[in-house]
Amino acid sequence: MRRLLCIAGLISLAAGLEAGAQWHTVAQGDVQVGRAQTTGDQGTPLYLYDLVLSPALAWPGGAVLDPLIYVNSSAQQYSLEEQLLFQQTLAFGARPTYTSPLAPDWKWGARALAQDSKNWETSGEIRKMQGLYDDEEYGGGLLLQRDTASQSTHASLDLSWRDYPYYRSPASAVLSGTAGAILDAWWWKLGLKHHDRLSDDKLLTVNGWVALRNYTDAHVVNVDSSAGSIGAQEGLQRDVPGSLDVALDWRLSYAWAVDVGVGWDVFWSNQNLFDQSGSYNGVTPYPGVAIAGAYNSFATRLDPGLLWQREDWQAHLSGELLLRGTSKPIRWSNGVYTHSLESDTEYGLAFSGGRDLHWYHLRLVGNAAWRVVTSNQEFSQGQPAAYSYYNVSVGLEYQYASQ
Amino acid sequence: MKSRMNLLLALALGLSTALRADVPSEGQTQALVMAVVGKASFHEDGKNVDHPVVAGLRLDHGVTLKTGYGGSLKLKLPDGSTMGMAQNSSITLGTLLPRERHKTALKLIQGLVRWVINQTGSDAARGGDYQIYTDNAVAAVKGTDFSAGSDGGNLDVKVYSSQHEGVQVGDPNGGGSALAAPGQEVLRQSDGALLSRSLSKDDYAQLAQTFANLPPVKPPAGLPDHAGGFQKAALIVPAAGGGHKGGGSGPGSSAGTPAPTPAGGAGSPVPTPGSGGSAAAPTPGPSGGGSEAAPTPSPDNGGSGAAPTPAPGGGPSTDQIVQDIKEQVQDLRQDLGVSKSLDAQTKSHDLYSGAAFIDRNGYRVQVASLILPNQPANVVDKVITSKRSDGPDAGVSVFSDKYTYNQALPPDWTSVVGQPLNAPSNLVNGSPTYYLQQQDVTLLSPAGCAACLSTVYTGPGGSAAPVQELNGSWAQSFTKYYTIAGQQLAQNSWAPNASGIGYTQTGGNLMNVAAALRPDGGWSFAYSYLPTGATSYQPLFTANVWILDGNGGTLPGLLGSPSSLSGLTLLDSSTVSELELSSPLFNGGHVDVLLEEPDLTAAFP
Repeated sequence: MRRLLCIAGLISLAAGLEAGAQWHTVAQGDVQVGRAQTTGDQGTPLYLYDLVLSPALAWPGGAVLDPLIYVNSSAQQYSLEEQLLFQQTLAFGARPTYTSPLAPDWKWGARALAQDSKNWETSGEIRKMQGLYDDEEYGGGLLLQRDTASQSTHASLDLSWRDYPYYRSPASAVLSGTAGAILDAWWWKLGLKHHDRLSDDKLLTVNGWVALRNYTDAHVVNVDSSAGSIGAQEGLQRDVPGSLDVALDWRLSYAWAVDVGVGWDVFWSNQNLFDQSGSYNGVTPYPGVAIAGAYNSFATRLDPGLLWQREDWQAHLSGELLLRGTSKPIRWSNGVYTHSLESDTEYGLAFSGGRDLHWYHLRLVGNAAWRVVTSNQEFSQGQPAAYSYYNVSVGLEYQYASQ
Repeated sequence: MKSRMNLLLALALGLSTALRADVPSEGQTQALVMAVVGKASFHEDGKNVDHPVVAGLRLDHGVTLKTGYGGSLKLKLPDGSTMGMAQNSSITLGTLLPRERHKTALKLIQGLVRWVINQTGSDAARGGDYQIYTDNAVAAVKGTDFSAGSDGGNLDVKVYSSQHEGVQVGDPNGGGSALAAPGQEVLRQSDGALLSRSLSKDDYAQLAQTFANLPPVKPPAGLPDHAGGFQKAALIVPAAGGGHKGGGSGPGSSAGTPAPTPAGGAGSPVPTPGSGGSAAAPTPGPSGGGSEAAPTPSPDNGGSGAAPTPAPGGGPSTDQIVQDIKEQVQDLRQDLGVSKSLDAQTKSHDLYSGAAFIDRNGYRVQVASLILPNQPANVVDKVITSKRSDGPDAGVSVFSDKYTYNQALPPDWTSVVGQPLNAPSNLVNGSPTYYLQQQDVTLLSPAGCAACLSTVYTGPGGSAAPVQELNGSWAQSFTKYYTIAGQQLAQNSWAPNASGIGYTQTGGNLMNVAAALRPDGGWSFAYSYLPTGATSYQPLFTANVWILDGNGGTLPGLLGSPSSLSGLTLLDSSTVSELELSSPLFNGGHVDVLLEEPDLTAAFP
């Protein structure tokens, strides 16, 4: 696949230059180092880098081929039940995109994706670096864009295929003792981005996506002694994640601007996680659990922010509030499981700042975030499930665009 | 509550003060910055220090203003006219005093500006005029709404207003000039050539788009959609000693007609240098040529007035292409985030469902728990598999507990498997209905080494059938076979005691039976054995075997003590735990055995 993409890219390059196309280049990147720490943790070093090289080939008629090569490192911290997990990802990839005018104000486009991700994870519980694992993703999609003087609407439909090297394996492969089977997951993703300049100083942004993901799951155990149906199954599983963000940016003056964002995340799965039997399920992770229920979650986010800039300085301070409800089987402190709603509340502050250095397109940047997570659940020892974490990082940012 | 109100009030006052701090004192003959979007700066005459431009700022003549990429400015000049600066533009404010020589002059160093001059009749009668000039060209204006773009020595003027006579574009040294009448465009090239053409709907659309913070101009009826090619402009003969004078009214909307000759004599206006005009490097890419494609707004940059630099050949502008590329980068970043969130959801799912856990070495382990009944009908196989992606034990471990009964099991096999031989429900007519013929506990390590404990039930005459003891209960003789990697290491046989209480070892060489925890809570396995002919027991597994509770202690029946737990990491999970068996006989490989929750002490976190 990667070889094919390279060949296609070279052919396009040759054809484009032959047709009198011109190069335009955008290079962006940042390198940051820092530290992240969770309650009770010893802390984890952060290494963040994000480099994008985008030497686009522009034809006189308006068509643009953008190879878009990137290296992206990201870090995130999240709670998995009572395991606190910190993940750092390094992705190498290319996403060649071709766009061409379709009609006045309209453009269409097509793009491909080839990506290889390498992931490191640490657990807040055991605080050890876990092994490196990597996965691959390939895909492609179509774009439709409409741009007018004050509005722009970009829609996209992508199909991606991704392997999960350590995720669920088909039961047959596991039982035969072979480790070669991997999970293939593929999904459709529909994206929509809309900008509406309401006035000189106000910009409304609506950004949403919804995906339909399919994969084969071996972990379906149906133990129903009364019906005489006992066994393991493999089946096609589906889930539907999605997200919608609405943001308003309001520039008060050159120095000050405010932005308010509201967002919603949804995750729906058709998977029943637990055995439906009460008589015997000794080998399930939740012995004695006689409940069935899917895992669904819904979250609402609110993040108002304040932007300040003066001369070469820029700073952004924002607050974050997240309310998440997860419907799933919950083990209560008395050891009983019921299908209930887990309510989490997360809140925190995020700060980012920077200063132009006027030297080789470089900019000094820094980020800091602090977040508290609370839940209606309890840790096993009985105390309320709550923890906080923070991360800080500083580095350099590079931005170049050819004229 | 009161103190909170005071705090809010203080915050509001503070914010208000902060916002006003950028507004300098008012001036009478200064240009007023009405709106700023994106990056914009200014520096004073003769100084090289750039300051940010803020709304409300008043600027004196001699000041040079710059907008950066994505930036735009809206200015109000002392005469009441307004000017918009597109992105990547630079001007120097020249004379700003209409009462002096009735002239307002600006130097266009680079980029694109739009000047809206709504002169009233009395103003016009007073003869106030306006100039916008570059190093080698000048545009003299009486009063109109026009844009001027400077690039690489070219000056491109487009006149949109249908009032007044238009803009005269010419040579500051008295060379030829041409009139850009309303609805017309005049391009003065760096070599002095003057070209003109009529504006099109595209031009008006682009104007509205580029200068969104200035009033739009409605295009006259009958305009073509796209501009035609340039023609040589009609030259105006300069009058000796004359300045630019607006005489009479210019032609009306003259779209599609050649540039008319103006009524007044055209002078050779002398530019008033704004001084301090740092000659910024011109933007490459000629502004002449084909029609400019309608630019895309760049909302992400906050640029409401982004002016594209037209590309040669009528394609999209460089700025537009760069903006599009940045959009692609933003899309990519979002998609990376989506992929990560899907991954996170899957992992979360796995942990919630018990399909994965993190072992004490820090490796994520994938777990599958399966029950395979009725294969054949008298067999139930309970299987737990775990799979690691990384680490020394990467691969699949299988723990299987297989029961083979004397007859086909009922659909509800759980009523039989695990039940005592002498359970009342199992006794029909006083004798056991279901009894085990064989039980196999198998471990398969990732290294491919299998460890197997097979218990074969045998009775008198080789039958597995139970025999009745003296006390009336039923019992079976059995032999355990221990096999590692296909090699049978040990064999032990037991038979019921003659007294009917307990068993007596009747043969074999196994010393210790206990190690692995079966999913149903029972224990099966070997620690050490006595090889045939040997006099001392050899360890089957040399490494530690621990099942830890939350207090650092071990469960009964296992070797080890809390004091020997130092150096080990406590595994802390609410759902499932792991113990590890390590043996040189496994070639250094490891085997996972799962510990189920009911077997953990209550103190296990």
